[in-house]
Amino acid sequence: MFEKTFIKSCFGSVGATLVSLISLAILGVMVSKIAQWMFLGAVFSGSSSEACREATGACWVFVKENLVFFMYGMLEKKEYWRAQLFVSCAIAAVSLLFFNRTKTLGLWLNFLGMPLLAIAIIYNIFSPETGVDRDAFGGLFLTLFVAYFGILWAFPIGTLLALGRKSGPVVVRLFCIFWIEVWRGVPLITVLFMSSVLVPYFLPEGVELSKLTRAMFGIVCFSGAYMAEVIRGGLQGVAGGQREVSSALGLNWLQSMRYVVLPQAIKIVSPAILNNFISLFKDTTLVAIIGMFDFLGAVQAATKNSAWLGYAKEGYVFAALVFWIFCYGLSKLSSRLNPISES
Amino acid sequence: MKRPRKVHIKQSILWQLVFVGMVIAAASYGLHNALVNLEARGISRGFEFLKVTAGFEVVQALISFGEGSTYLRAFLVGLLNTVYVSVLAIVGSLILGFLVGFARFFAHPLSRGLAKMWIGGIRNIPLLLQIFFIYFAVLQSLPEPRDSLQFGNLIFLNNRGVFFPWIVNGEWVRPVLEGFDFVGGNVVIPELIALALGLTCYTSAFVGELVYASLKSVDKGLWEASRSLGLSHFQALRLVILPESLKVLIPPLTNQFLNVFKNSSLAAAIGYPDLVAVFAGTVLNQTGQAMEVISITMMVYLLISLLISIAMNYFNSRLARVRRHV
Repeated sequence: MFEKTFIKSCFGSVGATLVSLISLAILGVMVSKIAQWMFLGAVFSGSSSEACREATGACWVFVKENLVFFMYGMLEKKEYWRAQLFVSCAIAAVSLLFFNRTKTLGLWLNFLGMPLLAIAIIYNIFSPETGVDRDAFGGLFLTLFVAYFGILWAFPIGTLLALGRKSGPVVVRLFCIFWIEVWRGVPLITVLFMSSVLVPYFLPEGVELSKLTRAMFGIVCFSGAYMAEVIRGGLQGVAGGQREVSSALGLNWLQSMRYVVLPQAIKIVSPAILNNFISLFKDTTLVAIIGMFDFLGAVQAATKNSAWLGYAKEGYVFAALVFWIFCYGLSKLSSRLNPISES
Repeated sequence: MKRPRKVHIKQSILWQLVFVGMVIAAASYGLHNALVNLEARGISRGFEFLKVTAGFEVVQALISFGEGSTYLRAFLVGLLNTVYVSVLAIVGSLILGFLVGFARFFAHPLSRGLAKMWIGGIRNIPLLLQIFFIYFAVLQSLPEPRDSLQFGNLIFLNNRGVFFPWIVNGEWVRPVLEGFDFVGGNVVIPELIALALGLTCYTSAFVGELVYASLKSVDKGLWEASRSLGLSHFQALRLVILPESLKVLIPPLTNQFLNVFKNSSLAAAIGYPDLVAVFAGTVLNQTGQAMEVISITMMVYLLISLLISIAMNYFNSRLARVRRHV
């Protein structure tokens, strides 16, 4: 039965047949080229570019040999534990947020514990004599680090801005509108330029922030503004009666927001929030432009290495695959959360 | 016990004053620091620098830009280049996006699958990565000018761009290889190709998804009604379904246009001379006047974003008005 309809819709008319032939041609060329380049003609073993001299396809040795650099940047081998510990703690802290019983603990850990951990082992404030260079952190770790804090802090800032814009007094509302629209109206690149070039001027003498902190400042401002608009959409979706009912029950404004309105608002827009995460995750690659070696920056730097010239394609394809896996996974999660697709 | 309304208002005004005071205090503290720091580093202030001669060259300028041109002129060159690449990418992504959207909409499993693959693949890879790929992995690995790929001895493709014949003083002039580079004719620089192509592909996936969603949002009854009025499948699509779907499509499409415009600033990463690369890059480095340069850049982006929103809102309201008369 299925085959019959399939064949009919593919070759039922002249137009359909034409479309089928074109699609099949595209698919055929694509599959054969990709298979030839990625697998059949590719070189997987070896340890230097010598191994790839005869290759007709990709040189995966390049990725294999540079993998550690892609993951950790310039970090020394004995310091990997810092990155590993931080990422495992972040994963644990985030997963605590998904269970009702551990939610409060998760919030404390994410907003207080993790920044402290970052200060302790990434910024290395407490034992500076061990001499880990904080600018050495890079690669996929840096991407995850920036994305984690950017996404996390976007939440409280976005919520405050959304509430201010929706129901604050006039002055606060104007301020929130101004703040949100300015960050949303300019490209992230100018925000990063601003935070890396301009922010140092606004600090009192003697106070210096690292490049990473400044980039994070820009990203948090930027993502907070986008999050504010998403949450505002959710607030508008909550029926007006909810607020009145909660005040009739004796809850004050703060309580009714905290216990009644915000949870519903966030639930409504949870797919949009996840989509926001995905774009922010993709946007973190922009820190490469202000000279930081995030995942893309590390790949980019490796392709410029004179020992490995001419393997840019392999590097970018590998990076694309990694980003694709992360983003596609998140987008699947977001379509599962979508209330429309459930019903 | 409810408090009297007057007390409430007074209290509210008090809090608002406190809020304003805090914002002003923070801003003036920052400004004070900035003034002290600028003084200490000997950086001049004000917008006088715009009149100073720039003394650098730009690889692509839509208006004449030479050694004697000022920083203001450099700003205009950058701005025009930004608008130029944005317009190219918007037109390209509309064409490609509609193609993808229709392919996804048709009841044809293969075209639908291809469109889904395109959307799912492109959307989940960072734009900067795509631009890097096109620029560094594809365009930079093209042959040197002397080994150019040729198309009928008229068009030449190499790692310095596409060279093609162009009218100079009312005559067609062909590009000719002289030494290491081509002379005569016209050239599209690889930075422009990479940026425009990257933006087009990336945005087309989003536009395609929007086109598909808007076509799907049209009531099925309209298809049946127009078919029973004797319209062919194509006529129904062109005269009924497409106009109806535009109503849903225009507002989110505006956002995509805004995104293209903002994303064109990724030019700075590959050296396409857009507003950010020329003004917030070269000019900033030469003059050191970070405050002025970055605030001008941000203001320009804000202003143009605003203009695009207003234009699209106007277009949208006109569309809605026309509909009401029918």
